[in-house]
Amino acid sequence: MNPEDFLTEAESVRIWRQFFDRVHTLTRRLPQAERDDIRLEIASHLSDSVEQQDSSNETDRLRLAIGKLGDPEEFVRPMVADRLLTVGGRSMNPRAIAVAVYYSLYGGIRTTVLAIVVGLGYALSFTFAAMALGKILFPGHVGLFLNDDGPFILGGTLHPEAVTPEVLGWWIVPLATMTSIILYVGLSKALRLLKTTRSPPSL
Amino acid sequence: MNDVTDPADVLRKRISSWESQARKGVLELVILLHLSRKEMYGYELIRTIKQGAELNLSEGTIYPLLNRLQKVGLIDSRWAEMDSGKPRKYYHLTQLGTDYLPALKEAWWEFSQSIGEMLEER
Repeated sequence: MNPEDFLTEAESVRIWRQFFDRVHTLTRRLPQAERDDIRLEIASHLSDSVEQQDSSNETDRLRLAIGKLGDPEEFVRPMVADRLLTVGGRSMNPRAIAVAVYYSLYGGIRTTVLAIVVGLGYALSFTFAAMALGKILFPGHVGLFLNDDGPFILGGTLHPEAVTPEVLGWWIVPLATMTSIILYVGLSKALRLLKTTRSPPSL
Repeated sequence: MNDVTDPADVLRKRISSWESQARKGVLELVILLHLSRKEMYGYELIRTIKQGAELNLSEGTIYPLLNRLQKVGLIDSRWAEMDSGKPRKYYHLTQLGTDYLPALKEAWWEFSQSIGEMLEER
């Protein structure tokens, strides 16, 4: 479907092409016939959507139509994954299958990895807070112990006499507290940022 | 920022959000139901569905779902060209889809009934 056939404004045509560049990128791993099929269906949808709006401004109508359709990253990717699996299965091409599986897992793995990293981050933040509190409650047992005989200990130990010297003293309280807060705030900000870059929930 | 939120408003929004999620859960059934009555193309389908209920759903999300239903053989598609020259991909139920739909409807009623019974308890 040629945009120039039914779009009259240069700006609309530009927006249209820009949108389909994104679709094109997402479908690049598919055979040409599949790419054309997806592209044509989306184009047909957009053209219907543009036609059925009231606004007289064509560019506004197209922008709204694209907005209602949603992020191509959200709805094209699962289609590509599915079709790659079908195509890959038919061709028995291991590379095609690997790519398809990657696309299928992409959404899931990203979320899982993020969850683990964030979870560990918060746990670490809590550990530092506990360290600061521990120093106040058990001053002799908490600190940074530079062990002459082995690895150093940052934290608490049941046998401080075995791991001298302790080098931070009371400085560990403000240092650990600050680290804990920085981690916590940093993680929360990062989480908010990551959540807002995700597109609206799909099926 | 205005901190005064009407609790009734909060509840209404929460219920609306739940309902939206619940409808998404039965989208497959809804699509098959529509297609059992009439052959439809993607845009027509999502518009019909959205007329029935306001879903927080981008229109594009119907396509991977249609793709999947086609992949498992419940629906099939054909390209048709309108008089205007515009191409449209029409979807319809396959024989498998036609056989599957009553079973899916039955499953839905059983599920709905079991929830209803749960609500009746206490």
